[in-house]
Amino acid sequence: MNNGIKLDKRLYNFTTRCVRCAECTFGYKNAEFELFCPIYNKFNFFTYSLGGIAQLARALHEGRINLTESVMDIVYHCTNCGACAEVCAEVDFPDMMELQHEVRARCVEAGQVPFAHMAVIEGLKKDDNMMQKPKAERGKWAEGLEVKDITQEKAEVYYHAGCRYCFDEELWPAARSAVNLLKKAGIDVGIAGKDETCCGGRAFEIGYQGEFIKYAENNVEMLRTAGIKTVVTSCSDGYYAFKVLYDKIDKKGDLQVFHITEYLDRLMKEGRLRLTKSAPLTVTYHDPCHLGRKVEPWLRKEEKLEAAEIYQPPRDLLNRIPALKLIEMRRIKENAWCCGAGGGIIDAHPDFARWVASERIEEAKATGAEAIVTACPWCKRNFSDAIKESGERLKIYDIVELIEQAR
Amino acid sequence: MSNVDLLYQELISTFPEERVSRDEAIRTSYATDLSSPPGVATLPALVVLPKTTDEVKSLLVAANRFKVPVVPMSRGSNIAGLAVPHKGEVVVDLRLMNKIIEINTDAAYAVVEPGVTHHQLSLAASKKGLINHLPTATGGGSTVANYLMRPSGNLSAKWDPDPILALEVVTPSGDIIRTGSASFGTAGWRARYGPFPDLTGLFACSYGTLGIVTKMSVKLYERGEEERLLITKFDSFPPALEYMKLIVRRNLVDGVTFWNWVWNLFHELMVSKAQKLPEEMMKEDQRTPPPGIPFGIASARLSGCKEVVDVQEKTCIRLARELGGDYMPLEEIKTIHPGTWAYLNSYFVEGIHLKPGEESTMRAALWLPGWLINAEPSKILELEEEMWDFARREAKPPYMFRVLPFNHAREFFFAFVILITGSLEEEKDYMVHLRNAYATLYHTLLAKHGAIMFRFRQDPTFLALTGPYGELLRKIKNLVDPNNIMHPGVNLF
Repeated sequence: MNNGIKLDKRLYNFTTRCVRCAECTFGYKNAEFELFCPIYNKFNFFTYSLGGIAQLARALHEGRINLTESVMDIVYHCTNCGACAEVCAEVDFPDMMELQHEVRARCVEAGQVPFAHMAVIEGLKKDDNMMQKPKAERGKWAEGLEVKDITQEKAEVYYHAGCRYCFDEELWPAARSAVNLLKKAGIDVGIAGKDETCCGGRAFEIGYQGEFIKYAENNVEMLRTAGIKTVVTSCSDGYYAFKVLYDKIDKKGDLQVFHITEYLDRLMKEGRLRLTKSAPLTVTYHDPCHLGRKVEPWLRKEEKLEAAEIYQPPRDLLNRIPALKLIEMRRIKENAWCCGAGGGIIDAHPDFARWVASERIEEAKATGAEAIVTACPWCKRNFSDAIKESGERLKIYDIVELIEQAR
Repeated sequence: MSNVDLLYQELISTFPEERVSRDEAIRTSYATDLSSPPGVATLPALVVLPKTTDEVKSLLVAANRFKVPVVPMSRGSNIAGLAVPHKGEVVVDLRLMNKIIEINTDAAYAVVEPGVTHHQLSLAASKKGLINHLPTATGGGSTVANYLMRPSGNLSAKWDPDPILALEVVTPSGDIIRTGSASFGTAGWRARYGPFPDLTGLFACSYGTLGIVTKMSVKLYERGEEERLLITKFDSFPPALEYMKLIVRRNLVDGVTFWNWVWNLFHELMVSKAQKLPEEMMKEDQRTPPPGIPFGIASARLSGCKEVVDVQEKTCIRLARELGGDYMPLEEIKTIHPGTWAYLNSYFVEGIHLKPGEESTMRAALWLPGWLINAEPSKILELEEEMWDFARREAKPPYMFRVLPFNHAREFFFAFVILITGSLEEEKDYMVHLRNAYATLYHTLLAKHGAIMFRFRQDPTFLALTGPYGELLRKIKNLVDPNNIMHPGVNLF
């Protein structure tokens, strides 16, 4: 059977050396071995796990199976949350997600991708965003903010809002708050407004590696032209793309990349921002995968390890808000349960995405918290949808909104 | 309609649809394990995910009626083809049967389902101040499946002769049998033996050919107020073997394992994140360690009251020295073999495996277990020589061995593993060559050294060598499984 799929040697070695222990489906002892792989937890067959997908990839490579719709369906149910890679690192690279990315790239080459993703990518090609919205509307979120446009004038720091914040009107307040906070702290910040483009990170995750490279190059070129050396973003996917993915393809150069929580935390430590208003809320914090597992130490060229995970800054920010009480969920940080929106799931399998979110919401409720706080627009959107659908009373906040309220 | 079609129709009427699959992609991931050569795989006919003993029963009754064979898969981490189909069987994936039914602190046992991992049980036992036998197999492996195959591990001297107490087994006819004390219903799961013949033993080492074990009670032990790792080093294997025999027979340790120098260097890949095997491991003369590295070490677990452990440790060191070996201070092992120390301290003493990402050595080489055999102590010495001869003839470096006492050192377990460093595709011919060479070797080892191989797919001619014993077993097999639906691909019968 010639399905045209050949893995490189490293990836093929992994598929043949997986012992099928399925430890990729649950956390280690600090997580009491609790299941943390959303697809395995939902579908239960071994196939729906990193190990299972490895066996599938092996069969594809060995020509024992064709790249069928069924294979594609399995591969595209993975939320790409990276929990599996927390436990397993069998092969000669620490990023186990590479196999998943590679298989998806092959699916794209073979035209076996979810219809919803085709539509998203068409939208990206046409309008430079993952939201299938007109390009001209990209800058609307910032109307009236009185912030520099880096395509027109010099600024020290570039604030990248990201597709979700730009086009999801309910989320605009968080992006606007971020810019306001930066300005209040005296940061010379600018945005790209309608000229901002997608970071390409989600295109990469759903297998469109060519599109990803194109957008990486676009963004880096725009920043180079504007003389920008520092990028701050509220979008966790954007953070992952600028910080890790661009670096892996040698596009990042000397760009300094910060997530907004990390940057605000730094400003507060420097005394440039203070929180004085109380927010008598009991909240729990959800770790976005793209601020945690997906940006944990990765192997760079010359085998240099760099870490970029952001676990503590959001917690420190929340703890600085007067009268706010933070309670932790069972599965946190590297063992956090995914929100369900990642890996293109929110587009291709929205029901599954909401199921994953609802599992997390149950966990959040069990803490006794009134609200779940996150630092990612995709997490917030998915939680909001799941909460609306279920009629839960749990509130959902973007962390930056809470910070702005407490300032 | 084929029998598989008929079985499928019946199963989807009795099981929730999402727990029965005949989807090719789903089945594909159940077709291969570490032992599968490139391009060689048999797809299961179906995959079924039972959650309860009653569901296992209804599945087996239906499979038996339609004469469709089944392969039980507890967690699936077997590396020798014991949990994958060979004849298009139905894979019964038992991972959803993952409850720890009971931790009985009074009688020191646990009752677990087949999907329970060593990790889960270790943690649950530890919370109650107890420890379970922990094999060298992955922490994500099934306690039930592993124990049914006589596991080597940290308490091998303590559990003599077996960590299993009682079982619940479902047979193809749908009988749900409980063995040992559990057979009475009111006597608990505390004991393997009762007033009648031992049926637990019938199912041990049966590899799923007689039924599916749905519950098992296993021995637990009090954690000592002191738990300690004792390392001794030896310049050759014979004194190490004698040392292990002495310290086990004198009840000085919970368990002890000898690892040759190649294995110790292999351990270095743990924790270190090294990408390649150390150069020294590749040397042609695998019998001679590099300078400054002992030929091998014996790692022992000691536990109990501190005063007693102190004396036991001193005694072990004295015995090692009398035999020409020596004590290896922990600081020395941490320096020479830090990976070995981290691994042994975690799994041997703390009673929990490292994360696979820390423990795994697969990134650098593929395991191809040559033999996993048991023999009497003196025969084990012959086996060492046999291994060197075989390896020189048939294998490429590196290869390694470890040995530990079973059955109160009446017999020893000898594991010989060849490492394949290249890609499986590049090394396919080598892998096939080794498999063929092993197949001949097993008969030689039995005939020459009385060594019995287990934990492998068997050569069906082996049972015939046992004479009336084998005939009786066949009768039992025919009685229990007349249609031979239970794991026929393991070739036991």
